[in-house]
Amino acid sequence: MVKLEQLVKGVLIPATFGKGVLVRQGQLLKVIDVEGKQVCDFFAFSPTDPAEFLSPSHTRGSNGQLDMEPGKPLFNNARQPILLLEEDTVGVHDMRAAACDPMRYGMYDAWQHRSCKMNVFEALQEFNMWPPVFPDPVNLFQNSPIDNQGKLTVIPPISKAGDYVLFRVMQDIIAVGSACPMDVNPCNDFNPTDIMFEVYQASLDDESATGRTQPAVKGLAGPSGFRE
Amino acid sequence: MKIGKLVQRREIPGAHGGGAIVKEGQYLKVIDVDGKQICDFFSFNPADPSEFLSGSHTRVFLGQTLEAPTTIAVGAPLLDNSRQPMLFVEEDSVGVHDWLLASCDSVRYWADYGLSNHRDCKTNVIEALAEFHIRAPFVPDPLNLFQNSPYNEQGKFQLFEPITKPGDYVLFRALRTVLAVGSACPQDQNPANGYNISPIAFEVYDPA
Ligand SMILES: [Zn+2]
Ligand SMILES: [Zn+2]
Repeated sequence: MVKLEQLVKGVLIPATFGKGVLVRQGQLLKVIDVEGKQVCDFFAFSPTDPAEFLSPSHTRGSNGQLDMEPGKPLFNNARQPILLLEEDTVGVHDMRAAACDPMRYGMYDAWQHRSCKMNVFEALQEFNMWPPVFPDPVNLFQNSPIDNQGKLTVIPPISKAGDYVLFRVMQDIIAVGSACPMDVNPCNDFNPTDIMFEVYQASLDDESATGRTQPAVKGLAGPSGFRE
Repeated sequence: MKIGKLVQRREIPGAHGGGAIVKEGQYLKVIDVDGKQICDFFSFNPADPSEFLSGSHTRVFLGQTLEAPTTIAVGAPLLDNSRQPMLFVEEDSVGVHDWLLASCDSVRYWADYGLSNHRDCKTNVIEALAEFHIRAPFVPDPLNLFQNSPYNEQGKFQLFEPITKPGDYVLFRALRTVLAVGSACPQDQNPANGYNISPIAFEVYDPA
């Protein structure tokens, strides 16, 4: 368990909306499913270059596995490790599905519906950022198994109130979350609720802090890593 | 499948990239010329390269509407990142591809193999786009045609040689005008291309 010291900032992301927060290298970011069964579409951008962002496909490739796992980093599209997953009280997330957008709700004939895509652009406006492309999300708490016909499905999250993931931030990022507004399928158990971001200062006596925040790239995948 | 006359054939040399404009209604055949060669494949709206073929959007679409696996499916469209249909998969002589992993890039070669001057798919795409006077601020995720990298029950990827034989192909119909880009993947440090980098061919055909 990582010992959390001083809370630097808390950001409540109201249900169906998006928010961002600047997190500095070495700090910890806790993403909390406040009431349970709520997906957070999660993104991380370089504060200096919005064309550099958290990338599910690079994370899969460099870790050689489908899903994120405590103790392993998440990578950006320049293949730099930007987050380290420290703790995860749920273990069920999705890194394969795109974020919801107006077109997605159009499929349900709900064109005016709020969407994660819109939420992210709104959140980034606060930082005067406009990414050249809308990246794929890491869908925290999303329960999207593949069924035995090979279909990507979506069923209610298994997360309970207060469940969380804790990231150690390895490079400065603007972390953006959208409390997914999807209420026309079981993605959020038909009841969109809030997400909470908490940013903590790293504890000084936490041994892992110094060793792990080095942007150690070279040889990261190691001799047994997946080398696609 | 009845298609019209060949209007362009472009051979993409092994370890390099190349592109072709495919007009709405035309067909694009992506051919593994010598076999066991991956093509990192991309498709852009030539008028707005921020619109591109997207695995994450297509997966959601295929998952919901079709009895289809999570890679491409014959008889189904492929969507762009605004969820608009872009290409239609007409034929696939292989059936083994990857749509989950990022392209190889320079970091991959120097970090994992200590190689600082190796060609890579990401650079190939940027070069291929430059020929069409398009500067990409980013390189999207590829559709890795012919790549044989399944994952097991624990979600760990494995990497095998492609199962393709010379002349194996995928045939797309363009549902609108696209700039198709391919990279004959230069990865020769693992079995991805059978340790033998070879060309990919793009053939563009008119409708029948
Ligand atoms: Zn959403
Ligand atoms: Zn490659």
